[in-house]
Amino acid sequence: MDDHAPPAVPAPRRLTGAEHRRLARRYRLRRTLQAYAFLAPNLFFFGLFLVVPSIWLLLVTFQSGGVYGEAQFVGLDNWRQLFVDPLVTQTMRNTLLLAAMSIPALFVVGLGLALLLRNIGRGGPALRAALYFPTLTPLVIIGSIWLFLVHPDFGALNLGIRALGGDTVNWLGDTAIALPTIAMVEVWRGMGFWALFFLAGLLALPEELYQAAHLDGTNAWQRLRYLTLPLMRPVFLFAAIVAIFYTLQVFDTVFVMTDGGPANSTATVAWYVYKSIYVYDQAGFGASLSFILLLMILGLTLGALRLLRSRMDG
Amino acid sequence: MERDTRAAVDAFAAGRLSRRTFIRRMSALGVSATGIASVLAACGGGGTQPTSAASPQATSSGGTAGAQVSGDIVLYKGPFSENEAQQIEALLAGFNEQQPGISVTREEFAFEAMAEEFPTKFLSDTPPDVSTVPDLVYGQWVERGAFEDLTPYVTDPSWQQEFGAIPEDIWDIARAADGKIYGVPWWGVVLAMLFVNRDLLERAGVTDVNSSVDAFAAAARQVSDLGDDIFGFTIRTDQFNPAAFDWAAWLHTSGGRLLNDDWTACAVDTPGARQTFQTLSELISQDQASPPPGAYDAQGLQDLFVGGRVGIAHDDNGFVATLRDQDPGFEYDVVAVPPGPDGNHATGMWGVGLLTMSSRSQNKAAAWELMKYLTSADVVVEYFQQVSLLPNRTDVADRMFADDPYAAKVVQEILPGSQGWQLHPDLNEMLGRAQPVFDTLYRGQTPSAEALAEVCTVVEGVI
Repeated sequence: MDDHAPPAVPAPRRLTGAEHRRLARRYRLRRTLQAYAFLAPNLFFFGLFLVVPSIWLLLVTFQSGGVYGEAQFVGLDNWRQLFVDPLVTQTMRNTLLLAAMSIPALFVVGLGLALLLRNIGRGGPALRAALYFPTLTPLVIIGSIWLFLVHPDFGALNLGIRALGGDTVNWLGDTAIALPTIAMVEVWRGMGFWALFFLAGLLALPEELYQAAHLDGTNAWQRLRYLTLPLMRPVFLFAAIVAIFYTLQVFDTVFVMTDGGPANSTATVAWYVYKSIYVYDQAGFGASLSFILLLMILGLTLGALRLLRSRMDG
Repeated sequence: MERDTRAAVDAFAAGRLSRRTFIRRMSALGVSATGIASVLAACGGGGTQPTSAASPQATSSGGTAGAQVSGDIVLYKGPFSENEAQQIEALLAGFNEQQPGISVTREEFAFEAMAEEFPTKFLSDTPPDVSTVPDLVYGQWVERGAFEDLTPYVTDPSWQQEFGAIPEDIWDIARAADGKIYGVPWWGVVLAMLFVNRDLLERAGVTDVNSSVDAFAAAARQVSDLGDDIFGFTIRTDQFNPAAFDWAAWLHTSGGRLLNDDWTACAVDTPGARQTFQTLSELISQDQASPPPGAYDAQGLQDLFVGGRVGIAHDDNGFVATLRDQDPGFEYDVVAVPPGPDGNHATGMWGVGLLTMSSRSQNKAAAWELMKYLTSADVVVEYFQQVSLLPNRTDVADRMFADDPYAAKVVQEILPGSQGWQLHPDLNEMLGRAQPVFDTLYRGQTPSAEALAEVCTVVEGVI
């Protein structure tokens, strides 16, 4: 008889169904609580700074006053006013036009610059910093720079046009050109950011695919068309969403350069929200308008998501 | 610098420098207000004393003798010049000498950011005791209850001489819809004046600039014909402030006003105004006697005039100082905006800024002492000369701008009869919504009759 034989291990007791369910429930609860514990700080600030203000804002849409004086319940008056105020329609049209002009231009210019930057070795970092400079520049300075650029007499743009035999353009004073001028400023201001954003995406693409394509005899255009653009789709997806909600909220450029003029041709929704709340003392109407802006952003963002996702799946 | 400071102190102590000159010189040398006050105190406050309304008389509602008032108050003020800090510190040093028990802290706001800065200040738990408030937003904040009713203060018998120094029609501007006065008119700007380039007018053979709107238009066309880069006239068009002040001048001179007398309806659309604005519109959009609207900002238009490319420029009295400091190298003059078609109306537009007291000020007696000091004749003369603003007091006009014939002409010939805004609580909104209509008028996109009718629709919509 072997004295050192291990003691007999008792056969594991089989869990009853009820015990199994109880343990499974406890496990799931623990995992869920852990998840919420990790999410809690974010959820706290999300609720405090986004959900609560949004609910408060929604309540303000049914009120008159409330910011500077006592609030009065006015029902749907502010919402009704949205449909009869012609400036609401105009600011929405201007905002969408501005987005339609500036976002594609930003993407084309940003991606073009990113492709160039990817191939630049010496001096690349300095060039990247220089390109990013407009994004960092305070808007007041940007405004001054652009007021010089578009000056009728000595502005670089008009000097160039006149050198080519054209007539002086009233960039900020012509009701048909002022909005495209604002879009131009937005593109100039954002191109550095988007160039670096796209450059980061380009640098993350798998190099071996390009090597294989090169061995297969593809040219640069084919590599861009069939490799880079499809591989960059997730980056474009995110960029489109960010660009949409950023561009639809454009306020500062308009405020500094034209204050919505001339003849409201550059008035955007965000500008009108500001005017309504701060200048015209119509907090309820401004809140309603900002909800419309929120819906516009949500709608366009969801649209962009669906469009790009379907193309990615395709 | 130390030697200069020492010399100034010695001269002051010896009585060779007046207190005011001493304060100004010390400020220029970079000495702080506290430092100046210490020196003044050490010297026994010698020198000339200002004859201020804040002399230790019994105040009205404050009910406290001037010399006995004490406490801490805040002066909330927009800048009037690049040397705002120095100039105001010097003024406050003078006040501190009169009222050593009152400590004034100066806080500054940017006029262009009033919409954002006023709410945070006026609605805070500790609103500033005394504030400078431009006419455009005065009515709005009166309606919100931000300001103390100053009627008992300004109508107190002890202040009647000062009250009488400001014309009744300017007090009317400060009177709210409830008939009460919530601000003391302090500074003014004439916004209806034409700067004429005499050399250009002579070259164009123009002899009459402002006998009528037609004469003005003919002059502008004649000057404009001198060359492609010469403009007959300019008017500010780029943003509603100051563009609205400029069109208001032409409106007033043509018998129109923004609102009727009881502020219940729009009064813009008059036959005279239609005629005047149609003339302006045609001058700009058809004859191109003016730069394209919005092509130049206010500064750009001034540069054009200084550069000798404009025959007649519509600007405000601040431009007088610019031209004084920056000799344009040609003969120029200032004249009033022409009378409207029926020739029997006020000649223009008068912008007003007011000193207000917070309705929640914890030390209203001290705040009133500061207001009395700032609106006193000597302070107004000295300070407004430095910053090229015009006083609302008529009793100091002959003491100001004695060495500036253009400024004197503004005060004596152009200012009388000018009208200000009607300070409706929603004035800012009315002007903000009306300006786009004037944008289309100046561009020839809307005839004046249609444009003025549309302005009335907008204004009455706000009312």
